[in-house]
Amino acid sequence: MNQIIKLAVRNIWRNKRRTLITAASILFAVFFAVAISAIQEGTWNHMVDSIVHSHFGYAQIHKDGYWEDKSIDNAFDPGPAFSSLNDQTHVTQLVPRIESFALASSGVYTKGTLVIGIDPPREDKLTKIQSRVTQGDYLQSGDEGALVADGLAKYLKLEVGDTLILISQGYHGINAAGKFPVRGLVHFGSPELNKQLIYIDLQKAKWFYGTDSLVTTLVVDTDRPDAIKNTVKQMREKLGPEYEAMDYEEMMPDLMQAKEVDTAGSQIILMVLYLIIGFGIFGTILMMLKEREYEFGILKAIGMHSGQLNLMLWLETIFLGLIGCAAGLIISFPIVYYFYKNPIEPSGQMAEAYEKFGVEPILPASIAPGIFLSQALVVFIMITILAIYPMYKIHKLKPVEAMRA
Amino acid sequence: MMLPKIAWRNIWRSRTRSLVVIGSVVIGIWALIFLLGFFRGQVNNYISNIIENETSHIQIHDSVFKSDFEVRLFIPEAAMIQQKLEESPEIKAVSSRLLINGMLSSSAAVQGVMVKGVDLARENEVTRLSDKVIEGSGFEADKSNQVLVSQRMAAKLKVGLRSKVVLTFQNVQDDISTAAFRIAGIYKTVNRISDELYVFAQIDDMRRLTDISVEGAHQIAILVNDFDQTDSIAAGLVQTLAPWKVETYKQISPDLELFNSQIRINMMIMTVIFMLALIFGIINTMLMAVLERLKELGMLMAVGMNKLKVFTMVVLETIFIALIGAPIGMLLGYLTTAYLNRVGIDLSRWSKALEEFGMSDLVRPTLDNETLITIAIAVIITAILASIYPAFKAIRLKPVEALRKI
Repeated sequence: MNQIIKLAVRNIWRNKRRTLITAASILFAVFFAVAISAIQEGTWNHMVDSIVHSHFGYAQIHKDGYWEDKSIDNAFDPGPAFSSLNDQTHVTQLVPRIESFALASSGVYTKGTLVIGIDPPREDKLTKIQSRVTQGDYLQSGDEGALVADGLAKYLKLEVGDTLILISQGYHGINAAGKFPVRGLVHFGSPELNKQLIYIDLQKAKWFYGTDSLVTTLVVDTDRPDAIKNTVKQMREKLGPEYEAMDYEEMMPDLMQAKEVDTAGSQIILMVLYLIIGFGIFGTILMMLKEREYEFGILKAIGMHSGQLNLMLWLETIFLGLIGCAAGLIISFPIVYYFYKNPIEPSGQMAEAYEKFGVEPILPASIAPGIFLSQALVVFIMITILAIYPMYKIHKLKPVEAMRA
Repeated sequence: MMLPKIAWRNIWRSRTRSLVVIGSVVIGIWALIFLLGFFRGQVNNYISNIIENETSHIQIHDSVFKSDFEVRLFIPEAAMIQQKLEESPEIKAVSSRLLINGMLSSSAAVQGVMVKGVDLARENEVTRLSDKVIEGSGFEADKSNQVLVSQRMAAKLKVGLRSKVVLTFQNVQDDISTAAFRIAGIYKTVNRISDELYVFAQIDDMRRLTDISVEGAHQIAILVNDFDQTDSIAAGLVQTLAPWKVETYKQISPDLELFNSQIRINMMIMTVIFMLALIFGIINTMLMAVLERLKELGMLMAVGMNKLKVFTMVVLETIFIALIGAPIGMLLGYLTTAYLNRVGIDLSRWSKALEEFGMSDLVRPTLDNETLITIAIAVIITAILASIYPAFKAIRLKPVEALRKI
């Protein structure tokens, strides 16, 4: 075995120029594949993360059916029944909210908004919202005021200290109306959130919507985001059919599907790129077979088994692939890492175009190991498939004829 | 004339090898054309949907209306302008609208909306609104306070056909008023964001409710007869309709132009990447072709073939290979695109995601001459670039040494 590996390595270096050109073609493909996948993956993850971290949380609990219609009438009592969930593994806290829509009015400007009642200290622990305050102050517990997203504030021409009027329909259709001084402005990366969010204190929201002690949402804070699916599943079993527990992927299916389509598109391009490179490698293998026919004849004649010969050739092609792949990964990593640390930030018209699609105009790269490993895997599979041809050739090889060639 | 002949014969001396390289050129170009056609089709899909549902070709507003959508910033003589526009032979259709921000509530939920007050017959000529109504018959004559809501909006409000909804909005005096509406139809477009925002009502109802005069409108949307004349027609309207703001779809939605130029850059980059990928395969093959013929090349030089001729011969061999592969690839690509343009690619599995971007789920790949010409030029450049290194290798031979080898 050792001997065969040694032979294979030496054979590759017998024709340095060819090895280098072939390896360079693989390097080239790997480099582009990594760069494109890293930026794409990174941008989507950033987008999903920013919505998850700034608003949705990794999972939420509502009364069954709330998510479909977002009606305030589906409020529930977050009382004793839920304290048991607090002890569940990976659940660090349950953060209560009251979410509903209201018409916000300031001076002559009016707009439909999403008004959320929060428990200020707990909400901050969950979404770090205090760090998003760009002007004025964060809410205190029992605060009478409101915190307004700065995109919305701009539309309503609101400044810190101004008064905001909210009008809505409360619990079971009662009238909801109230005056709220603006305590501060917050900024969200997601343009969709930034133009419609208003926060008020939870107690004030209970009064405003007339829900008494009820809330509409419990946001689940977790120390293991990667295990959220399992956590949600356990919750569902505990809660029964009266409540719904949803993870973030279920809460934004449109976005997850958009990610899927976008990724699928570039995967197709990369596959075609690999296909062309594969053809190039196949050409190289063909030539190598032809010029080494004599050599193979001799090896077979002096007693090398077809299996050993096949193994040697397979190793040669794999080494060739690995050299190219490794070089591609080594070159692409620092570049991807750079764009991970210093995301591309489109400006001007470009930024506006992104915002129009509800995408924050920032394109960080991802350095998830999967991106790099999957390229290595693709190259490995491609090379293995290509190595079938030499095996077939060797199998058919007649030593005497080969040596005569 | 001898050189091309020799070069041609040389290609077919090693049939399998040449066929592999030709194959890679065919596949590469075929795939490239298909992908470029698909991209172009998607962009066209997006742009035509935006024009049809959102911007039309030209829109007219009060000069600051769009910064705050204030109800009182309407065009008082809109009806007169509309009549004048409709008489113009260059203009295909005109629709005047009121745009009113408000809140729509049902017994179950509340949503922020933008009400478009329209005259349905005219609106149909511009946006084919009635074709998008999937449930109900649309506005009924002689009935007031009817609305069309999107399927998504209906689901959010938990309402259906004939349900009653209440609209809260500001009138011209900035007073908040409310009115009850009956849902006369449910529509659906391919754009999620606009579906979650727009509600259609009859313009006369909205004028009455907001105290806007019967001649007034916030927005006049225009479709022109000849799309390419949009800019010049708009320029003419800017003159005659001052001080009202006249904008073309490019000005209303600058991202369309951006999208267009961005996609062109992306297509260029992709062409370059694919060509580079092809170059590697071609260089390797041609290099082998030269190196295995050392003796022969030495002989040719020894009997008097000069270096320029040897160089040209190798370059010609490479170009021939590319020239056999490229037209086949282009033809296959063209046929594939033409076929798919006719039947369309069904992406309905992802229609939700495409609605996120405002695209319909049927994509028709489109190929323009510009793309084909670019690819043809790119292939020739690629072949020449790929042949230079092997050709240099060939002329650096010393005839005597080459002859002595092997």
